[in-house]
Amino acid sequence: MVSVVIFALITALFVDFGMEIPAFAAWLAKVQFLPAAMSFAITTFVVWLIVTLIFGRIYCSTFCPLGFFQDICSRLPRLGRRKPAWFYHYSLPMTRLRRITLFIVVLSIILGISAVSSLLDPYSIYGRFSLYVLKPLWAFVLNLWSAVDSAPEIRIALASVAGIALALLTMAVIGAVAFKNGRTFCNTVCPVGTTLSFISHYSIFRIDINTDKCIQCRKCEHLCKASCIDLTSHVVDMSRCVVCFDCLSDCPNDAISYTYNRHQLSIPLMQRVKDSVAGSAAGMTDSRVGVSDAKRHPVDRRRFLSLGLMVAATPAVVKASDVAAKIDGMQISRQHRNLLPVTPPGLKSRREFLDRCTSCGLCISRCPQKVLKVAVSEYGLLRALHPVTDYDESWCEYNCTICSNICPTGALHPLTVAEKHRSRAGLAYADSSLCISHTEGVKCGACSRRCPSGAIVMTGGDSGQRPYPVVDANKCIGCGACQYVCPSQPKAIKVGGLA
Amino acid sequence: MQNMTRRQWLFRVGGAVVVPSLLSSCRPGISGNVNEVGERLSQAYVPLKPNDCVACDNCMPCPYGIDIPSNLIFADRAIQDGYMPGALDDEDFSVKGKRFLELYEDRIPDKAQTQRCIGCGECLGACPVGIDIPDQMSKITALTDVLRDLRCQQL
Repeated sequence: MVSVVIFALITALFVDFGMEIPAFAAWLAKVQFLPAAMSFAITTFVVWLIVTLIFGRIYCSTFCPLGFFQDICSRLPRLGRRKPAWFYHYSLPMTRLRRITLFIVVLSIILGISAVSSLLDPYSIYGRFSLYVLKPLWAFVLNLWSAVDSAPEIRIALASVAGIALALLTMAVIGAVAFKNGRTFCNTVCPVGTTLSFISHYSIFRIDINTDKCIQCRKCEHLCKASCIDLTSHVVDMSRCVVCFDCLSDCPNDAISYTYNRHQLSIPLMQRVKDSVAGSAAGMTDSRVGVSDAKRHPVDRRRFLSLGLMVAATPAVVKASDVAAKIDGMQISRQHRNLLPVTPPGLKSRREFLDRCTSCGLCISRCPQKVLKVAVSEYGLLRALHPVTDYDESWCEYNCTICSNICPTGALHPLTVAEKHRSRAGLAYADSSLCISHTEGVKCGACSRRCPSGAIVMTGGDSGQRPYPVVDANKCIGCGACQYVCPSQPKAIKVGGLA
Repeated sequence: MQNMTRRQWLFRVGGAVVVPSLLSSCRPGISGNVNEVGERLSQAYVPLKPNDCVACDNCMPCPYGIDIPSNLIFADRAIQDGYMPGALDDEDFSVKGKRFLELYEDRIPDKAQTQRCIGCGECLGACPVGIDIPDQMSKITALTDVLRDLRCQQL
């Protein structure tokens, strides 16, 4: 129940249903595991570790939005009256794949290649999905409704093709795997799941099967979406269990309990010996003791392949759209061609921003000015999907500090309004040869009038020429209001990011 | 190593991430009086009066892409339908303002909104009703500026 509320709140936070969202929802983004780790929020991090040590992977079952999404997908085939033709089976842990993936993710975070972590972090995956797919869909539904209701239409803002394709692709693969196999993502590639599993392996409260009561019906094993109940040896692999308690309620004989007091294994020890000697004992057609996993379980290989495809296909999609973006880029003014893309405000340094951002898209969805958009190749391919400002479409509101305060990863540092007025996201560069005062002889000064910090002064009006803008670099904060209103094409004043 | 707090130690471990950020965290300071700028917004704002635009389109096309009649008629509609915000210290200023801004951004595309007006005066003689269009444009801009400022502080 808690997980439903949390899932709904996080989705609402991203999708912005047009209703009041409690401040509690923003807190939920900040307690997500990887963002907390990225922002050195040590308290949150340690609290999660301790909670996991005591109760197991509660995070995965309740707080992780992607985990809940997978639960929905795995529930779908079980909703109808007809039971699906397949059910879950116990599978051996894919320890090597998990550890290698985690190692790669940690290494890439340390090296500052945030593409890997943002591709695999469950919170970021879900954030991107709800921002790029759910939000436009919701707007579409509202618009359909408004046809009946005659309410004003909402303009549907679509993100870049790359963003939507990537979000859809990852979600489709994860959803499909979950549909068939439950929480496979969590127990194979998810870096958060692997980290927590190291600790939950030793958790104090565990799922325990009472062998005296168990009637070997295998209902629990077939229900376990994490494929972690090995009923042959009556052992629950707590490193993979996401403590969903599905098995508890479905056991016909109440043999399963969640307790700190481990049940003494009396019969299974003997059974185990018997099994390993006899190979497959009577009544246990698929005993897995002492069998290497890959040979007997083609399912595992298939799972591995589909996940591998998911990881392999994403850079290709990003690359294709990058080419498209480059063709667009040809039309930029020659004078301004070498300007860096402008980041959202609140950075300590550009480098730190690029390294810490996990591309969850929360700032993009919360920006009231809609000036933040998804980067494609602005920061380079490895930093695709980070937020970037688009000052041709909008500008950054002078007194607004929402994005820096909502960022869960510490890529953007929280600003007060006074600090925002003194922190620089970029710097405006005026090119007087492109200014319409020069090209068309019109008296303009729009940039100077719109500049909130008074950094642009119109000068040089005495020698018969119209005045042109000059930027005071000590006052400019790079909000982009000047670039947005500049009437000349190409823009005579543009904001460039700081290195 | 002995005198290090746990936090410092963690930062050293994450050194590859943090050190470059520490090195480049020096940014040039920004001068300018903050409060003075903040007040400028509210000082520029004057409550709007009906301008009786007849939507004859004589003022169009605007060389800078502003949809003048839509903006004027929108303001008139807002006054008629009662969601045009009044003076800044009115009780319902923020309620009306929120509705005004929502509808304004919905109905008028951002490229056709008034903040792109540069006051060139091409439209000045064209209006049969005698509206001072650049002046009206700047008044609507002042209003939306105040409202946008308000919006980001409420969120």
